Amino acid sequence: MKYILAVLVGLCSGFVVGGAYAAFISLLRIVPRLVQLTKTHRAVKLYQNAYALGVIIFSIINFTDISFNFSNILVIIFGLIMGTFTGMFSSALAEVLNVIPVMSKKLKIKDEASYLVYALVFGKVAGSLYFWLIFVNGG
Amino acid sequence: MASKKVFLLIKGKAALDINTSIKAKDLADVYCKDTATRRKVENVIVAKTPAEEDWMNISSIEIIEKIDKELPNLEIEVIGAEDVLIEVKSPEESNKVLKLLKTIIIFIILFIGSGLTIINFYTDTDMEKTMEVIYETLTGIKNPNPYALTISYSIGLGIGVIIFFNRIISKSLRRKKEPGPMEIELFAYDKDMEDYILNDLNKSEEG
Repeated sequence: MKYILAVLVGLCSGFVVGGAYAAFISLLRIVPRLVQLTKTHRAVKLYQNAYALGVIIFSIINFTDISFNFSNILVIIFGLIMGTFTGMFSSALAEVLNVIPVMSKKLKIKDEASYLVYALVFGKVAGSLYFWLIFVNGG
Repeated sequence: MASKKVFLLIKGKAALDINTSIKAKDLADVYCKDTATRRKVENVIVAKTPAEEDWMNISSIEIIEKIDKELPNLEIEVIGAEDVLIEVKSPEESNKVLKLLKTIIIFIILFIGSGLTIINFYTDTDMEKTMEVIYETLTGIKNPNPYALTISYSIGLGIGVIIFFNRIISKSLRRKKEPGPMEIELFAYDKDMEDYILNDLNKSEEG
């Protein structure tokens, strides 16, 4: 009985959190952007499944003690991929906030707006490197 | 002489210099079977721009009124927008050095700002712990500071931003014309602003 209740609570909260996550991810429009870039409109269903599968597998890994024996090269590839996703994720957020359009409009530098993207790129990489190399080690 | 039919395709917006007369051709594309009439209609002066930079709007009715006054006996057919929003600009005020300076300032603000926000995000979500756990899951080794993962992650971060904003390098002209999310956002912002100004101008005219 206890277990049935636990499973029920787990399933229900999983439904809600998973639904919220999917809604949030769709809001950021990362998948449409990637589809537009790669012209793979047919694979949208597959991308959705990739999201679902990723969420399930990583959440299981998170709650268990599974560990692999991957080499450092694989770890580097993993890091690159994770970073790429977070980069897209955070730019989607920044874009929603409309910072660059508003700034470039107000200061009348519309033509140069595309260069400002590189400020975001370098800023993110520099900030991230600073965090991992200096900040984490306590300055 | 039978009345000639003139078609006016009203443009939604126009940008003009200060202290110039606004001709019909600035506000609309004109078509008439008779080329001479078309020329005359195109050069009808509808209004004058003010002496300083401003926004103004001219409704299609005003354009018809002016044309009808100067060239009667024309049958005018209007298609397109209802109002023209005119951005009155002083000619060539753009200063290259100033522009560069502004760009550099914004570049620095965005550079430092985005660096700060990513650090905020890391501390907020306890990324340190996350990376440690992921590294342990992947390799089975406990390492509180897995550089292999974190540095490659940082580089990937930059790649992600570039992928999101820039189009993939392509020779196709069609691909080059496709805007990125930033261009779309800029366009939408401009359009919203123009709509707002037009609405505001119309309101103040009524009131």
